[in-house]
Amino acid sequence: MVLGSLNWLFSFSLVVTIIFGIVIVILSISWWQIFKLTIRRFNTEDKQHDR
Amino acid sequence: MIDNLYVIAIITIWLSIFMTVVTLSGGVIFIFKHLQHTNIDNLPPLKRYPRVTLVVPAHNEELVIQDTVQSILRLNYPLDRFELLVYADNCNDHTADRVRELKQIKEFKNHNFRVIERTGTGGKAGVLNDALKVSTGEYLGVYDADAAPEKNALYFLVQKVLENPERYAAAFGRNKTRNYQQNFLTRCINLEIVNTQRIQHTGLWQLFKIGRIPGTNFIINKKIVQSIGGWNNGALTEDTAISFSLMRSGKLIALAHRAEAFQQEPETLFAYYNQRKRWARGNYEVILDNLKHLFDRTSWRIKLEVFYYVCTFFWFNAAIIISNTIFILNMILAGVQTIFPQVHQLVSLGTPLSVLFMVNWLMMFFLYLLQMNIALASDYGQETVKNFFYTLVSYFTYAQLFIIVSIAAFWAILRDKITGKRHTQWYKTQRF
Repeated sequence: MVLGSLNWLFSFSLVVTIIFGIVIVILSISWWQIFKLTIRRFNTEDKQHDR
Repeated sequence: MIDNLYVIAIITIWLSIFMTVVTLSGGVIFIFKHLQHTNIDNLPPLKRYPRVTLVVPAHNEELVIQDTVQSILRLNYPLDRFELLVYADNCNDHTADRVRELKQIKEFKNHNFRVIERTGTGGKAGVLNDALKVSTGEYLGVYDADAAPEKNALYFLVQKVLENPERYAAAFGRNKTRNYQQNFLTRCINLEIVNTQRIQHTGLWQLFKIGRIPGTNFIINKKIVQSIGGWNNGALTEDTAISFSLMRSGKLIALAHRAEAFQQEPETLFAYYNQRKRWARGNYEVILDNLKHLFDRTSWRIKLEVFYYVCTFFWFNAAIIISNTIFILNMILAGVQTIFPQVHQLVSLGTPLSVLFMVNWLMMFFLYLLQMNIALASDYGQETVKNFFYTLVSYFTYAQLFIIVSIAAFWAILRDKITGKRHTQWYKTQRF
């Protein structure tokens, strides 16, 4: 397909995609933080339970 | 034509990414805010203990009813502040006898519970309306016959409504799958439920104070339910219908995330298909009933809910079907092109725009994995390598079942409209 009249769509899409990409990177960092915190908490609960 | 399709397609993808990002962000904020440990062995007393009538609608549930009733009777709530009504609704098995047997157990001698054998119509909504008439509680709590609450579930539900009793007409908890290790289907259902409860519910509550009454594990203010006319008799999804009614009356349905119950999920494709088709059909009916509120002066929460449902059940579904059709057509044309070079594909995959589409799809897929993993990480024992692989596989298998189910439900509604008869039967979810 030749871009033609959709040239504007391409550049606009690129900007939107980059914005979404940045948000997703932030959410990925959040996942890692949640993962670290919950694993630590669940492990602590397990140890308390084992005692 | 194809240009317009491109524009519609990219807007659809962005909208779905946007909606996912918003709910996921809300869910993440909620998780961070509620990470602290609650010592459930040493809970502070509540400001007051309103009287609660717990209702269990049971239709041929002899296999599971005793477990559920025992769990309810062991709830951490003052014995004189709650009563339990088990409705053996049009049963032709021993559900009522199984409940009566519990009366003989010493532990439950002083508990206020009884079984009511019912032969009326209206299904679960009919049972709840009957209970509304005879209950003595300030609040009505509902547990499905297969949903065993954790011992503090009622405590947390009441604690939540008491935070703002004027505004919070109801509080709902979380449901967990107790038979998730049974097979591939139950594992996928479990993933879906963990995601719905840990991201969707929390995200919508955190950002918009929007809650939806599930079928089980919730309490609701009796006077408010009476003021809106009770449950919609015969509704296929009485929970969605009453959620909309409550929100229309300006009340909120609060999330009590620590109130947990364990329920059974379908173990066969047949049971799953019939359960989900009924849900999808019920949801379609509620959406169509509430569509008019998109354009009137109803609360913005109703508009947001209707928009959300319309996007999920109509827009995104249609988009997936069209894109799958184009994809298959394109693959066929690519095959034909190898024999007849003069034939062209509908969409070429080498252009910059197509690459951008591919990037957006990959982003959507990554977002799905991220959402699932955040949900799993926040739930004890769920973030495992096994569940990660199930998450990957279920995207291409289990998740696609939703399309089949929603098409079947939509067709059932169309057929009923054309013929003027209601063909949909209520398939009881099989217990194990």
